[in-house]
Order: sequence, then C-alpha cells, then structure tokens
Amino acid sequence: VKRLGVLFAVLVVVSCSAGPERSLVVASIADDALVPLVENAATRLVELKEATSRFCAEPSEESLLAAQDAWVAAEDAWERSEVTAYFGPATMLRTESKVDFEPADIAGIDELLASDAVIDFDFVDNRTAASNRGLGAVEYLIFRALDETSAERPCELATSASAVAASAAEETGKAWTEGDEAFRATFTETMTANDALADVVGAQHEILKRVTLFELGRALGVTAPEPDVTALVEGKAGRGVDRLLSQLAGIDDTLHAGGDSSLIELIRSRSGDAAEEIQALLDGAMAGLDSLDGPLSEVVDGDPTTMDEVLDDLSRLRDLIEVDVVSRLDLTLGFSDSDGDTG
Amino acid sequence: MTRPVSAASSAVFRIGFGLVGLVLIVRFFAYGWIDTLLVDPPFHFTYPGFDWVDSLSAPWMYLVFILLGLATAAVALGYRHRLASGVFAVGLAYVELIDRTNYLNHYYWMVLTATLLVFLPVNRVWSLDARLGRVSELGWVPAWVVWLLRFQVGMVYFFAGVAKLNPDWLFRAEPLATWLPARSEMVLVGPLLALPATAFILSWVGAFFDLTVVGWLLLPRTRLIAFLALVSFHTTTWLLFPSIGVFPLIMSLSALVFFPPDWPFALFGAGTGRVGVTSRLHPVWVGLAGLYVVAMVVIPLRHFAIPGDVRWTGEGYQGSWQVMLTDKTGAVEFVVTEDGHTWIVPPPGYLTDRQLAVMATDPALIQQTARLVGADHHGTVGARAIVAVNGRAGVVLTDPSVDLIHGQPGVDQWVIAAP
Repeated sequence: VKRLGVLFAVLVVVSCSAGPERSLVVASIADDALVPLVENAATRLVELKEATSRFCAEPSEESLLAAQDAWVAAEDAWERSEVTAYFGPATMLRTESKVDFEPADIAGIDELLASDAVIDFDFVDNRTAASNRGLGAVEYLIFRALDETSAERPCELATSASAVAASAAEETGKAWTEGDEAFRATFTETMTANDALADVVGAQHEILKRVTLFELGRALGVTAPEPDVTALVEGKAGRGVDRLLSQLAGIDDTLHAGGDSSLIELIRSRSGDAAEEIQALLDGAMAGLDSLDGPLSEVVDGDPTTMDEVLDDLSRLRDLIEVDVVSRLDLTLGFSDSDGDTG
Repeated sequence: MTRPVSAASSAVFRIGFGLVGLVLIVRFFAYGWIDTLLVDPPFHFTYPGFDWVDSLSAPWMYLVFILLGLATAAVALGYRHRLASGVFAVGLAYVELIDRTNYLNHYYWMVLTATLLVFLPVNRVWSLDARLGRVSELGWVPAWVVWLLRFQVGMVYFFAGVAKLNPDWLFRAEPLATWLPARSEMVLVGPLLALPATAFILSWVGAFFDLTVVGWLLLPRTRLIAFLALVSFHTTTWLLFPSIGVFPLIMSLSALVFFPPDWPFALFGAGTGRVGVTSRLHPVWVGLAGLYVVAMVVIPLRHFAIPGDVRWTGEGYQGSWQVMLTDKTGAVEFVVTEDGHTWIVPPPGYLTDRQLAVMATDPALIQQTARLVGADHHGTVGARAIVAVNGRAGVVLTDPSVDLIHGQPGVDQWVIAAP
C-alpha cells in the first residue's frame, strides 16, 4: 500500500508538470477572451451607430467629435477582436466584409456618394461593395470638416454603414453565445481541444503573417524590392499604430486568458523558453509601437529603427508561433487530419 | 522452398489485401481527396525523374479511381488477379507519384505488394479465376510464395524497428512525448497519456515490438500471443492516431500469413486442400525474387550511406519505413536578390496548406518551391527555413545566401547541419 501510495504521488507530481488541461485552456480562451472581445466589439459598434445617427440628426462640432470618439473606440475594440475573425461565426457570417474590409476604396466611396443610388441600410447591406462600407468608409466620412461630413449623402452612407457594421457585429456576438447551436458550445465541447487551440493559434499566426509580410514588411522594403507605404492600412484618422497595438493586444488576451489555465501556461508546460520568448517579443513589439508618435505612414519614414525592431520582433514571433508552438502542442494549422492520411 | 504447402493462407492474404485496397479507394471518394489532394492543387511537387507525372482533370482522375476500385475488388475476388494486381500497382503508384507531399509509407507498401502479387499464384483457391477454370483449382502453392509474403510483411516491422533505434526515440521518447499529451482528453487513458513516463514506456515497447515481432510470429509457441499483441498494437495506434488510415487494418490482416499455410482450412474445419508436387523454380524467377529481397533490404538502409540525418535532410526518407517517427514543423520564406535589391518573398499562395506544411520541412521540396519563386524573378533565390524536429526548438534549416535556382547546389551546400 505504501509503495502504491508513493507511485501515486509520483504520478500526480509528474502529471502536474504536464500543464493545464487543454479543454480548460480552450474554455478559458472562449470565456475570458474570445466572447468578451466579440461582445465588446459589438457594443462599441452599436455606440458608433448611435453617435453617427445623433451627429447626422443634429450636426455640431460636439456631436462630430463624439462620433469620432465613438469610431476610435469601435475600431480599437474591433481590431482587438481580430483574433476571432479567422474561424467560427465571423467566417460563417462573413462579418469582416460588413464591419471592416481593408483597405476602404476611397474612389469607390466618392463615386457612390456622387451617384443617384438611394443609400440606406438595405442598399449598404446587400448591394454595396465591401470596400465601400464598414469602419474604413465611416472613418473616411466622419474624419473631415463639419460641413463636408454633415452633408446629406455622406451622412446617409455613414449612418447606414455604421448600422450595418453594428448589426453584423451583434449577429456575430449572438452566434457565439445564444441558441442551441451557439459557437461557444461547439468550440469548447464539440470540437476537440486541439482543433480549437489550432483555430486560436492559427488566427494569431494569420494576423502576424499579414502584418509582417504584407503590411509592415512591404512598407519597410523587407518583403518588397523597395519600401511601399501604400501597403499600410491607415485611414484619415491616422491610427495605424493603434490598430496594430489593438491587434497585438487581442493576441495577448488569447495567450493569457484563464491565468493558470491559459494558453501561455500550456506552452510553458511544454517549453518555458518558448513561453518566455513569446512574451518578450510581444511586449517588445507593443512597447516599440507605443513609443511611436504620429500616423504609421509617417513613423515608418520618421523612425525606421524602431519600426525595423518592431518588424523583427513580430517576424520572430510569427515564426515562433508557426513552428515552435504548433510543434510543441502538436497542432495542425490550416488543414485537418481528415485532409489526408499520415504516417 | 519449392515444397507444396496449402494455398489457403496466400489466398486469404490476397482477399484481405484486395478488400483493404478497396477501403483505401473508397476513402479517397468519401473524403474528397481526389479533388483536394490531386485535382485541385495547381502545382504538384515531383520526385526526381518523375516530373513528367501529372494529375488529370477531374473526370479522368475519378475514372482512374473507379478503375482502381474495380481492380481491388477483382484482386479480392481473384478475378484475373494478375492483371488486377498490376492495374492496382500501376494506378496507386501513379497516384503516389503525382505529388510528393502525399507520400505515405503504407501506400508505398501497397504498391510493392500489389506488384508482388502479379507474380504470385495466389488465386489457386477461393478465386473466380479457379471457379471459372482460368487456372487449375489447386489447393497448394510452393512454400516460397508464403515465405515471400511473410518477408513482405516482416520487413516493415523490422526496418521500422531499426529506424526507432535513434536517440530521439529511445532517450527523449520523441515524438510520442509531444504527440501523446495532445491526446490527453481521450476517455479513460487520457490522463495516462499526459505522463512523460507513458511516452518512454511506449517508445521502448514499440521499438522492442517492431524489432522482434516477426521472430515471435515465426515461432509456433508464441505465434498466437504475438499476433494478438500485434492486433492490439495496431488498434492502439489507430485509436491514438486515426489519421494513419488503413495501415493498422492492412498490417493486422497481412500478419495472418505467419500462421501455418493451411490455417484457414483448420479454422473453418474444411479439408486441407489437395497437395501436389512442384517443379524447380526457373533460375530467372529465383534471380528476380532474390533481387527484390536485396532491394527491399537496401532501400530502407540507403540513408545510412548519405551524409546527414535522414530526419533532418529528408534524403533517403522515402521507403525507409520511418513510420510515425518524426514530428517536423516548419516555416519557410524565400530571399530574392535582384537588381541590387534583396527582399523576402513568401511561398506562392496557390500551394495548399497541406503542401506548405510538408514542403517547409523538406529541403528537396523547398528547392522546388524556390524554382517556382524564381520563375517570377531573374535574380537569385535562397531559402530561409526554420524547422522544429521532435520537440526541439525551431532552428534554421537552410542557408539563405545559397542560390537554389541557378545550378544544382547539393543539399550539403545549403542545408545547415542538424542541431
């Protein structure tokens, strides 16, 4: 009995070193990160819709400022929830195309404003190109002088576009939590823990890939023959740096949600070094971005050293997630085991 | 070797092989793999000397698989079994050669076995060929037929065991130490799988099993227990790793060939079959059989003659029975230098996620991708790949300064030594 007791104790100690249970990690990510991020984005987009409507009903410097503040809050919340955009309801409902298709087509929006089309919710929801609506279009319409913004056609498009975005975000939020087929239940109970983790890690990787290869990388001339600032996603509000910070904050949320049952602790249980490096790189990139002053399109030229360091950190973080995290957690990104036999 | 033995076990082997082959083909239809693996990808990675092999358009590719399905059914039924086995061997080889990222050990084994069946008289009983009078319904085959089939099955275990004699498998319990905790949610055994000790125990048991099971199967006293252990082993691996497909099924059924040749008669209480007298085997056939055996021994071991670790360089991997031995994950980007500018280019977007995942860890495929990237540029193209092997941290696999598209740099010139 004594020997069995010792053996049991050894097994308990050894099993403790295996890290948090994956199903608990998935539940933590869902409840403490993904659902709050989606719900917060929906709340902020509804507030943007209301602020835009108030401004168009009673145009004034104050109401315009309030609409702009609401846009900033909505965009921060939406970008922070970017990590939910690559799986689940956002992909099924194609939410991104109604909330934040990037980049906005400025020429197309001007053309639309100059047309005879009746601009209302239905038109923007069903018959407008994704690049002519969403947060990018609203930004273009409300970050300019009062008389331009309060004109009838820009106001119609701004109120309709923000209403469509709010509606889509609300629908996405409900798809996560409401009804018998709520995705939260699918994510935490129906899917295997590994598939759910692969979705989250895959989303983190997709964000970092887009930012490093197709945005910052091109702007800095690392992934293009020459620097190309047009690759940056930044509108009239000049909030490209904040956009990146929000997206990285979303990644950070999904890493730390759940405390002891978090993804970063699961990674740490497989490799303390990898967990430390991930945190250091993420912190470094966010601190670098935080230290920048001004629109992204300007600081790329104005502070190339910091930008190069940020890009290096994010590129290394991308590789670390794609290689080390995927390998150590035995995840499969982008395809599943049913896509072909192995062995 | 030429003495007559019952034809029953070799016939059962044929029937089992044909049926599992049919399951394999049905899986391609059921999972949509004909499209996703063969038809849809706009680019396929090729084997040296086989870059002329390409996929067909959808209707023709489906026709190939219908033909393969009919061939496997014909093998099982023993109807024109030589032709059917040949069609299956050539067809499955064609499917395998289309895209190197689709390589699987058990597909390779099935191609070899189907080829072998073309030359073996495994249709003497329980076949339409015999029933229809196409061949004499003889209840016996020369003993060498059964022994060749035993060799065909046994070599997989033995060489898979030899491949397990490496430090990662024995002293780090990798890749099981990485794979098993990911399955810790399994009912009943899940918590055990999370224990590091489990990976070590299974690694050593697995190596011992692979290296010795053929011996236990050959000994009459241990045969039944060894077979039951073999079935348990394969059932366990199938439960843990369902994506290994029909491998557990085909190996479990094939191992029946180690029982006495008349075991089906004995089991079902039928007669033992007529026993005849065989003539001496023609020297040409003896020579061919000998060549085949030598090839099957040399091919799995050839990587020992190639500099570098096969699990790192990928050279000599195919056909070496490195079954579920390596966990490799990688990321790759290409460094283009042209007109005084140097910049990074990601892999072409038209590669599938599955192709990307396999390519990023295999130097030969990275080189093929570099040529794809180079097709859009007139400068040089190097590759910067990071690969994590068997639970280690990701490290740089390739030297990005070496141009991969002009000349033919050998792997030793641009693949950095294994950590």
